[in-house]
Amino acid sequence: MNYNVSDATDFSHTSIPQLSQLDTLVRCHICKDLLKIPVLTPCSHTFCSLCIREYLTREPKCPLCLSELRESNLRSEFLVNEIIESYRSVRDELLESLKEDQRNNAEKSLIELTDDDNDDDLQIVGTNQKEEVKRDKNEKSVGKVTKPSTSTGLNSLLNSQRDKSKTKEKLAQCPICSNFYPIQALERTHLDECLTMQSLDESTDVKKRTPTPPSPRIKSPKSSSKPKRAVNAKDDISHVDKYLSSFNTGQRRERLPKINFTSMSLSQIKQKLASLSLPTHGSRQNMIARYNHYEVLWNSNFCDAIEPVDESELRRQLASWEASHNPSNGNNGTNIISKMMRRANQGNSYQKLLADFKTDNFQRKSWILMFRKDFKNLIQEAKRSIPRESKTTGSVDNQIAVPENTEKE
Amino acid sequence: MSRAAKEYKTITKVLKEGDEVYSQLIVGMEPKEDLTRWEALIRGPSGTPYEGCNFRLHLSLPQEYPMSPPYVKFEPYAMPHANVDFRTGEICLDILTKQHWSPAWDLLHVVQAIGQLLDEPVSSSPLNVDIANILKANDMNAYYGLVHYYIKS
Repeated sequence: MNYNVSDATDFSHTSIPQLSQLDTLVRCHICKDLLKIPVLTPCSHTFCSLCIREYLTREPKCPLCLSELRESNLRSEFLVNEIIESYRSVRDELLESLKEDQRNNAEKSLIELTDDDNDDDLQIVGTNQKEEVKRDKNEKSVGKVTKPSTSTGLNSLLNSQRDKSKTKEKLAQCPICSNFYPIQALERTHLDECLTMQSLDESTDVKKRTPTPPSPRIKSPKSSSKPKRAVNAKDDISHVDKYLSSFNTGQRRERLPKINFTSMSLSQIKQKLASLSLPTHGSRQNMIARYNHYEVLWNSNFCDAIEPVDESELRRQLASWEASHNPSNGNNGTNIISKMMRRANQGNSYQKLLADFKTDNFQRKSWILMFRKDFKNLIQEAKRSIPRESKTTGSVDNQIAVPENTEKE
Repeated sequence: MSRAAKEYKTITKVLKEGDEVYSQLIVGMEPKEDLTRWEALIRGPSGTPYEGCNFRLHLSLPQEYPMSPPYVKFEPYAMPHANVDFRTGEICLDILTKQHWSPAWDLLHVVQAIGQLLDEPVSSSPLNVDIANILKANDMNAYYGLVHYYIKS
């Protein structure tokens, strides 16, 4: 979970406030975040692939100009994708150094004002030089990132195959910090680290949250940490390479079709889901929603993404989507935002507990503690209604069953 | 989810720094409890019977936001307007319906649109029939009089 909310106005108090325009332009108008897998509409507007596909399942029109738009009309934009990815990787650093510039400039102007009388010219020359040096440094730092990539640009065509096998190490997104790690490292070590770090963070201070320092880290698109420049340059060689080798479409798959579920029986729907190795539990409605979201994820991944991820990663994303969107998982229908807020306030995380619900690690005591009040209310409510209406106890019984079982244990 | 957080940041910034468009209309705007529920205080636009009064808006974000529009209401029994249900505060505005909403809009746009609605009531789709009828008859004296009567009582 990334609590660093970035915004185009971040740049308005730096030495180059005009950059906030650039920052606005590379943002998706739906999620207001930097574009992720950008796609182009026939009306020449650009959105995140996932955002626009999800919206098009509701309304067949462009959110910006309201002209008619179909999912099949979307085209991926590899160049924009790589531009934004390389921008994303330098954005934090750029912002920091520009802010520093601004601070330095402010200080300098103060000095010039106070030291007005003695050695006017010397003072000005001195600061000017300093400024130039500073600017040079900045230019270099930006250049460093891009230059090596252009020089290797041509080789990339030859090397692309080799590169691919290297980068194709299966990556998966951590559900907690949403950075990408190799699956094995994620399952073995990172998840535990991330969870413990998170609970530690919560007990101390939400604002001072720093990203977890995991061991075998691979370049993560969202990371808010500031890697050393040298490391950064090495990682970023691949942006140009990736673009040049993007014609290589061996990984592409057939897009998933839209399905008209109204005429299908429950077992047919289950079959369809099972054929994609998706879970088949839940009501008819849940299953349809599950397929529809999976279709969006699939098509966005295999039709638009420059580097499609594995199917199993898609299923993981689907599961986390379902956990946050299924109202039956929620607490009295409250949605993800309030859950998140509550979690930030509570030391004991509700979602963390819920994650272990079906395993042996499930902490019954803290679960009971957390919901003691709700259980009590439910029991009281049930007791009150039983003697009066014996007919309707069927539904009430179900509700009691849960709290009583857990209380006994 | 992160979208609401982003809007929170933008809105606090806009209100703090004073934006030309919004500082005229919005007196205050802040989330209640969590980022799914908001309250805004807007100023009656000048040149309308609402001038000189502030009105409270309740905004709540559905889980699908921004794919679905936010639910927006005026404080009940406080807003006499042709397109507002006086008893519930419900607002009849096309961009707040599922068919016309666009996820490219945000809460500031919504509040701005409601400000415009105060300026230009649409008597053809009324929720407050009394005021709409007066507007249709183009009786401005009665319109001002009725709105003022409601606001004072």
